[in-house]
Amino acid sequence: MHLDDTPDQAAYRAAARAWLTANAKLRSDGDDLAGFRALPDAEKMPLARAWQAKKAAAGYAAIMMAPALGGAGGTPVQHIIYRQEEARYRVPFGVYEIGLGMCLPTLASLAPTLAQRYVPPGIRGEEVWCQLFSEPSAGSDLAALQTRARREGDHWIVNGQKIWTTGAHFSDYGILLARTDADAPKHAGLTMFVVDMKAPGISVRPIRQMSGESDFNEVFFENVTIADSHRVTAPGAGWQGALTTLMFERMNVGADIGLIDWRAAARYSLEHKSDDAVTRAKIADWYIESQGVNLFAYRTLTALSGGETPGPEQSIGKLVTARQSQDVAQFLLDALAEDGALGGEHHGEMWAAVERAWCWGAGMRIAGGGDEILRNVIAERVLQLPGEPRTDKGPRLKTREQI
Amino acid sequence: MNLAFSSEHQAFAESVMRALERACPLADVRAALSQPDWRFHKPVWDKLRDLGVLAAALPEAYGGADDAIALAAAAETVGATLAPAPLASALYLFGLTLLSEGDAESKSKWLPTLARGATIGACYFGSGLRVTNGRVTGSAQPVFDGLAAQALIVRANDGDATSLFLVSLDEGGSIDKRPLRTLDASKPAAEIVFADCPAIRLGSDDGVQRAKDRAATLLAFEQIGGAGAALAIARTYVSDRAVFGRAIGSYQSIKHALADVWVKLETARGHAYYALWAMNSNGDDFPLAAAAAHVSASDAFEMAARVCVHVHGGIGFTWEAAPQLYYRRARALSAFLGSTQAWRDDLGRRLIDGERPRR
Repeated sequence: MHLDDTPDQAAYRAAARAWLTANAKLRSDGDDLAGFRALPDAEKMPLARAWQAKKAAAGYAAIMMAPALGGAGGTPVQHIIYRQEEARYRVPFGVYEIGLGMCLPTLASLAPTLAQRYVPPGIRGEEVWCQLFSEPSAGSDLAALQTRARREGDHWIVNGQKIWTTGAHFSDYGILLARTDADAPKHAGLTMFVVDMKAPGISVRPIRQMSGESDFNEVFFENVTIADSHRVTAPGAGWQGALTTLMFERMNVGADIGLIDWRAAARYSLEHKSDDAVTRAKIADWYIESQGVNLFAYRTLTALSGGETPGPEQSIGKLVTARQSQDVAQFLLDALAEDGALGGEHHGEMWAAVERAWCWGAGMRIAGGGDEILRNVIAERVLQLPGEPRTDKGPRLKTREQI
Repeated sequence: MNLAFSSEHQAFAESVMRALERACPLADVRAALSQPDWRFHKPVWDKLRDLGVLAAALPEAYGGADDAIALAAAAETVGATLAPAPLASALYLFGLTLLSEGDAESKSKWLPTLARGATIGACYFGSGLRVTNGRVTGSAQPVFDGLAAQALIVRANDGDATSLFLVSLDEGGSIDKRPLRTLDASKPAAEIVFADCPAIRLGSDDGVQRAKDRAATLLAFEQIGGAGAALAIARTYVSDRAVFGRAIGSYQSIKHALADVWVKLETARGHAYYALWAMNSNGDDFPLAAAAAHVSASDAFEMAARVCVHVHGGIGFTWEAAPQLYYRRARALSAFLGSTQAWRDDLGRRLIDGERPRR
């Protein structure tokens, strides 16, 4: 029952901290990372590429990946120690997380030949990846997706539409989940592919978000050809592939969503001496939540050291932190009275981040599993409560076009 | 780093859990609610002594095992089973405060008997007592476990300042004890009126916050034990109980309520573990960690108990069902160390002033 590093862990942490100190600036209370994501692509992509290449050269870009694929061959504990340290610094954010965190580990796990080709340059930041899962009628209910891939000889022809695809507009490749058997039960008719985002027939249309920025896209497939060699799973085994991706997503333990948290409120209170009982109580409660997620990550780390894998209990992270960023932002804007109606630039250095949290907090409570879905996951997968009655588990319902 | 109980401590906790379940079924806890002069559950206390729980956190020199983690592991099972034992009064508060603030003679006199389960001690940090010429006079209430206690550590005014004193209840002067009705009668309280009782000065009342921080840390384990048990009971019930042709646990309104309890519980568990580490390692961040542990564990247990009552529907409001016992105990444990709002306020002030956890 302690949080002291072993000598090996302490040495790893010290080296990571020294490297980060030499290569990045510390975050102060109230700093966020989302500001980087808000930069124009022309400005942010070179910075992100340079940072990724640096990390790769130092062995921090893909800590758990096998050395044969360009990774550092490290342990989950090292991966998380590095993440804990990096969270204290202001670093590029929002370009490589999906590729490094989900797409490339999925390839390494399921498709060795594809992994040999794609993982090493992905780690070095030379190629950017996106994840083509969600569709207009298949978000929380992902297995309802309708993008079709039809086999023709040694190729597949893809038609359909994806949506909410983060970074599709600057990505080189994506992992695509498509329906290859319309007659099979809905979870059994899917297959996963690697798709070249520059292939003919793909058009990417950025979606302008509530924040005014465009990180998400609609991606349209019109007779896009994918070689069978770029199939990641066996035909019909795409759902198992997606679960593999999800498992890697859960290694993103203690999920830093890049937005402000209770520290911004504490800083404001200190600077403005707005030290009243309501403020103190709110800061205390937010700290308990936020540090609670941090401590949950330490408990996960302990379990990983014992050979366990992260599971559905990791839903706790974003469920808590996304809501908190929204709450803190609203609280701080309210503290400005009438000025709380004005844009961040009127209030000084910290307030762009507050405005981003006000906007993005709402988005992060939806992205990657909405609050309600996460509660369902906790209830059904952690607490083992009975599932909802399902009408979609038998043979697939016909789409409107088919009827 | 290892933020979990070791397999040895887990095995110890499991043996304590089995023993407590045998020694004290929930029917015994319910029966205690109807006994106006209830003190504590003697078979439970004897069992805790036999298993080494009472001695666990005390130094070997006094017959202990110097293992506060074992006491914390056992505390979680006491919380889960609701075993009505004055662990918090006798050990988290009286024992550890005497160990920290007491003189050698007092420690030699009381700690070995505490470890053997032969003495029950309690603490009173409220107002109303004064000490003149080494004798304490005044009225103290509520004194938790005061009816059972043979020795007390109290806060009293001794002229210019407020200090901590050790009062043995069998060494002269006049002592009058009267039971006070409590919301959880299995956790009793008393009014004690002292007249000229000999009192030994232990130290300044700086010791009070240290005492409360240690007690908050260990009590948090009882609270997460209670919250975990209440959640488990609720989970079982909603998985079995059907309305409109479905188990009620399949409705999202019920699912989400239980998921929120789980989040609160696991949050509190992390803070309890952290505070235990901060206490054992004498960390500068111990006061911050203890406050977070106490507030989060109090919130978790009260919320878990409230949801447990609620999802049982009408059954949850009956005397005979289990939820009311958890509801009552959650209140008793939250109140044991004062207002949780005061702790929350203190935590917020520390954070605004820049205190941060080491990890």
